[in-house]
Amino acid sequence: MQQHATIREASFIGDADLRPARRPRGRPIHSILVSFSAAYFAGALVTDIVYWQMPDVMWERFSIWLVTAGLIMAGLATVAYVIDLAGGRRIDRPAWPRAIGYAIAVLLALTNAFVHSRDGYTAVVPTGLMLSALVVVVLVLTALVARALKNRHRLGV
Amino acid sequence: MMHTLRNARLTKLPRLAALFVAGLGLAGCNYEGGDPRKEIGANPPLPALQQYLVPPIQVAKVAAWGKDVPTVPEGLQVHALATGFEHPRSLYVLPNGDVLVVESNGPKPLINRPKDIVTDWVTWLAGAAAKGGNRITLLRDTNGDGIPDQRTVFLDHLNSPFGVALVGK
Repeated sequence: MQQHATIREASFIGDADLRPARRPRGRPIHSILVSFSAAYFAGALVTDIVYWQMPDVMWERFSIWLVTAGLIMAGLATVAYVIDLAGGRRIDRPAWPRAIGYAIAVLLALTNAFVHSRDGYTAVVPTGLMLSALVVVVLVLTALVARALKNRHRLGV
Repeated sequence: MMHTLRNARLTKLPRLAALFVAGLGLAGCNYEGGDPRKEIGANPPLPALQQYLVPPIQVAKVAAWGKDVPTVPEGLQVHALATGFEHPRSLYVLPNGDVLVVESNGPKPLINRPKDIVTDWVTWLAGAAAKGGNRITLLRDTNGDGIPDQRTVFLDHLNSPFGVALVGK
């Protein structure tokens, strides 16, 4: 009984040690910007699917603007991340898989922007649509892997 | 900037200019082609679809005339008829030898896609983004020395004028 209580206390101390170091002022800015870009990329997938089913050029233009906005947000997120790193913010362990996964998604989105800049139907179907879907899949997988790693890290497995 | 052939009769100018322009146009094309018989019929072979990530473009370098002039036969010389226009786009030589210069450029295009921003930039690189004068200037050479001694604004406040035609005599 006594031993059990000690372990619980120790794990509490571990948590209490992590939190203030990592989040002194709430969420870091780059993380907010990453969420914005992910939302834009997901929106582009939706408008791509709509364009595929209903070839009105308006949807294709929605898609390319959404992809562009996502890329701009990704660029801002990168700048914010570099500033965070330079500012000596502590980077926890799951940060690198997340950063690499996000970088892959952004590179795919950049290719997607060029594909979407083609003219006519082939700007989206099939390559652009596949790339949009791939970007979202990579983002979702990255989030899942990052969460799994974070939990493992926190649980100390 | 325009050039004219001194001593050439002014009435011959449009034809010479037309020949020159036609020559340039043909030189720009490359008809290597194949068997012309394949180009007719129910199933002409069509070129395959080419998709690019970045389309291959080459922008011509914008350069001033400077002192370079075209080579012309003996007894002729080339010099600028007039300079200092705002994006002169087309010319019309009237029967009496007066030259109408249409100073015009297209209205600023809408940006429908992010690509259009890049297109605008490339167009600017090629020197085509200059503001047009939106007017037609008349050049008149009264003494036939190849230098216009009258230069007046013929029509002003136009909206991207393009072609000119003489109606009547």
